[in-house]
This record gives sequence, structure tokens and C-alpha cells, in this order.
Amino acid sequence: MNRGTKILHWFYKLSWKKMLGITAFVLTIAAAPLSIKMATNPTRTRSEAALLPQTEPITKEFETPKGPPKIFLVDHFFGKAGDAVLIHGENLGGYHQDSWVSLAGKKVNEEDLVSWTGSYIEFKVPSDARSGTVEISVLGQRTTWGGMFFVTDANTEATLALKPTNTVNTAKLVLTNPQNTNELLVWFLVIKGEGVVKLTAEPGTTLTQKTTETPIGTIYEAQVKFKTTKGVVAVNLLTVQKNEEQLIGIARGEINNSEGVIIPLQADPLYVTF
Amino acid sequence: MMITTNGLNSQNASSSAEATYNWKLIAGLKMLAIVLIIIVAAGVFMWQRKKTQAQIQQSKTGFASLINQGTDGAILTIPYQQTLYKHFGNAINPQVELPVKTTKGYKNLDFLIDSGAVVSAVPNTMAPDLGVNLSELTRITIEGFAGQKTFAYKGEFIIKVGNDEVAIPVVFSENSQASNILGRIGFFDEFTIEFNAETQKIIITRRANA
Repeated sequence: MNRGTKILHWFYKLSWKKMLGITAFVLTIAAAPLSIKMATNPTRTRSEAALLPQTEPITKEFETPKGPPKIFLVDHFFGKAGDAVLIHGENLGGYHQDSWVSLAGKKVNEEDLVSWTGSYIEFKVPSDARSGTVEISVLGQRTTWGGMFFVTDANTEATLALKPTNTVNTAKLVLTNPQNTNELLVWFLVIKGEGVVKLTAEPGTTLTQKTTETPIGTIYEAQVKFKTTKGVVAVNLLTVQKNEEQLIGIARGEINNSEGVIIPLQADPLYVTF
Repeated sequence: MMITTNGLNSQNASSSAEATYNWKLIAGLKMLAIVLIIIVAAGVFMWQRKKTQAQIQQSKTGFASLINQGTDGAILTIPYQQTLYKHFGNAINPQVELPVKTTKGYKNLDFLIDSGAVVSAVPNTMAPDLGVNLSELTRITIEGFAGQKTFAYKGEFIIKVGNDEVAIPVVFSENSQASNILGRIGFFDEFTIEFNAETQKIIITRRANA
């Protein structure tokens, strides 16, 4: 029996079941490298997870306070419901269940807290907020900003503005709709640039000023006493003179009448170059 | 007997030859069956492969048509502007001049196309020209390059890209020295922006289903 006949005979003896089994085995062996090749091929996938909006955590990293918390500035000192406000300070830690921010004695909800780091806290003015002081508690240690935060709306009339004059780098501080007030406390913050800012009282006003250096910049605090009569729309309070490189903002403002009643105030524009 | 025996032998030889023929036929059929199964399996595999390749080709054609649309259907083409930097030498400045709707009609403004910016931004000093009252807009904070926060007001402005007039979300930055920026929201998701190094041009195309 030659080799060909032997092979034929082997096939003849092979049962149909075995034959199918062998065929399946051969196909499986052939399919294995193909499957490996397909598996290692780069696959184009589209993950819907990547399209889902990611919520930013309020605090990414808690910075352990090295001392009691301090507030340098509440920026801006006014805002309507939904507006962002920054509390600049130090030793603020981070968001924690034992830490909170309050506005006019009412704690700001977690939904209105945007971010909280060791040096600043950002929150949105709550829809039911009222004007008042801003207080924070960091792990039980409390501090209050010395200024007043005003919740403004369409009815807020009193506005502080720095209006450029014809003289270069000089502006007038103008209070519109003074509403029978006669005293102003204002902070000018030098955000950018070196040098001294010169404040001069306008005729009919008296000025007391002091300068404070803070980690966020130099603050020029001015207390201005002025007179208004019924029907006065605007009153010039100060002349502000800066140098070319400086950028100045109105960081705080409070006006009150002779009875000490504080009137809600806003500033426009806040940061100016003139 | 001999005759009979011979006859029997002849019959035996005949049936033996028939038996040999039969088993060989069966063996051949079995071999053929195996070959057929393998051919069918290979055929199915080849068909599947061809189908996949056809699909890939189709998707490539789809992309190619989009790319072609990017050049052929361009609504605005801007030549590259080079800026000479002290430390880096020449670099492309993706600056584009677009008409912005103001209270006194359209006014051309330079914008920096910035895919790194979430939203378009202009300085707040632009607000009066655009007829926008900032005190009516929601104040937010935006983060700059070094992570420093600046206040801005969320609004909208109308620009012309080619002949298309589009309303784009914008923030009015309190940093009056800030550049005009065209960011992602409303611009990058409505237009295809191609930086073509071959032609040294920025080609802006409207999205097919926009």
C-alpha cells in the first residue's frame, strides 16, 4: 500500500464525527492568530463618559491653616443674586463640614459655594441674600470682614464711579444718587504698578486717608465728608491721580447719612485705567 | 470446478475491485467535505473582511468629504500672520478680523482664535459700544493663564463670519487690557477651524448641520 492509498484509507476509516471534529479543530487553530491580530488592532471607540460634564470640587486640596483665618478683601463689595464674590484672605484651609461662610448672618449653602482654597473663597450671592457683613468660620475659627457687602438689584441707585478727566492719569471719584448721605468710606486698591496714588479732596469735602499694605496690594482708605442737598444727582468727592502703569479699583465703599444709616452702594466701573 | 472456481475468482476479483472503488470514493468524499468546509469558512472570513474594509473605506471617504468641505466650503479664509517674538522668533499669530455688531452698525475687531479658552471674551470697556448694560448681566470669575481670577459678565454678541451672522456667548472681562478672544463655546462648536500649514491660511467652515 503506497502512501497515497494509506492516506485515503485513513480518511476512509475516519468517522464523520471525527472528521467534523478535526475540521473544527483546524478552523479553531487558524482562527486563533486572526483573533489575536484583530484584538491588537487599534479600535475606534466613542466613550459617552467623556461627554458627561464633570463637576469641579469646591476644594481640590485642603491647605491646613497655619494660624487664625484672615480676610483681606471681599471682592466685589456688592452683587446681585447669582453674582460671583471672592473672599481674599489667608489660612482659609478649604471646604470642610465644620467651615462656613455667612452673609448678613445667614450661612451660604453648599450649592452657592464655588471654590474654597487656602487663600480665597468664591461664592455666589444667594437668591434670598440680604446686605450685611461677611463672616467665615474655618474649622471653628471665625473672622468677619470689616466692610459691608451690599446685595444690589435694579432699585440700587447710589453708585460710585471713577471718571477720567482731561488730565492724563487723573480721575474724579463721583457719587451719583447720594440720597442725602454725607459720609463716604472708600478703599482704592492698587492692583498693578508701583508708586503712590494721590488723593485730593474736591471743594466742599474733607478727606482723611491712610494706606495699608496687604498681600493682595496697597489699599488707600479714604474717609470723605461731604454735603448734599435734596435733588442733587451727583457729587464730586475726590481727585485720584495715579501713574501710567497703575491699575486702580474701588475695593470697598460705604455711604451713610447723618444718622449713621448705611445706604446700599455699587461701583461702576470697578477697575479702571485712566 | 476450475471454471466455477475461476468464475468465483472472477466474481471475487470484481467485487473486491468494486469494494476498493467504494472505500476510495468514500475517502475522497470525506476529503472533499473537509476541503469544502474549509473553503466555506475561508469564504465567510474573506467576505467579512471585505465588508469591514468597505466600511473603513466608506468612513475614510466620509472624513475626506468633510476635509474637502473644509477647504471647498470655506466661509472665511485668513492668511497666517507672523509675529516676531524676542525669545522664540517667528510664530503664527492666529489673529482674525471680524465685524462685530455694535449700536452704530458693524465694527471690525481683531480676535485671537483661542481653543484653550472656554468662552469668547472682550474687555468690559466694549460693553457700551455693544449696547450692553453690565449691571444686568451675571458676574462670574474667569481664570487666566496663571490661574489668577478675574471678574467677567456673561453675555452675548453678534459677529459676522463670512456672510453668516452668528450670536456667540461672550464674557465682558473687568480686565480692560484683556485681548479679544474667540473661545470654544459658540465658535469652535459651530465652525470648523483649520490651520493649514501648506497654504499658510486659517480656513473657517460652518459645521454641516449647524
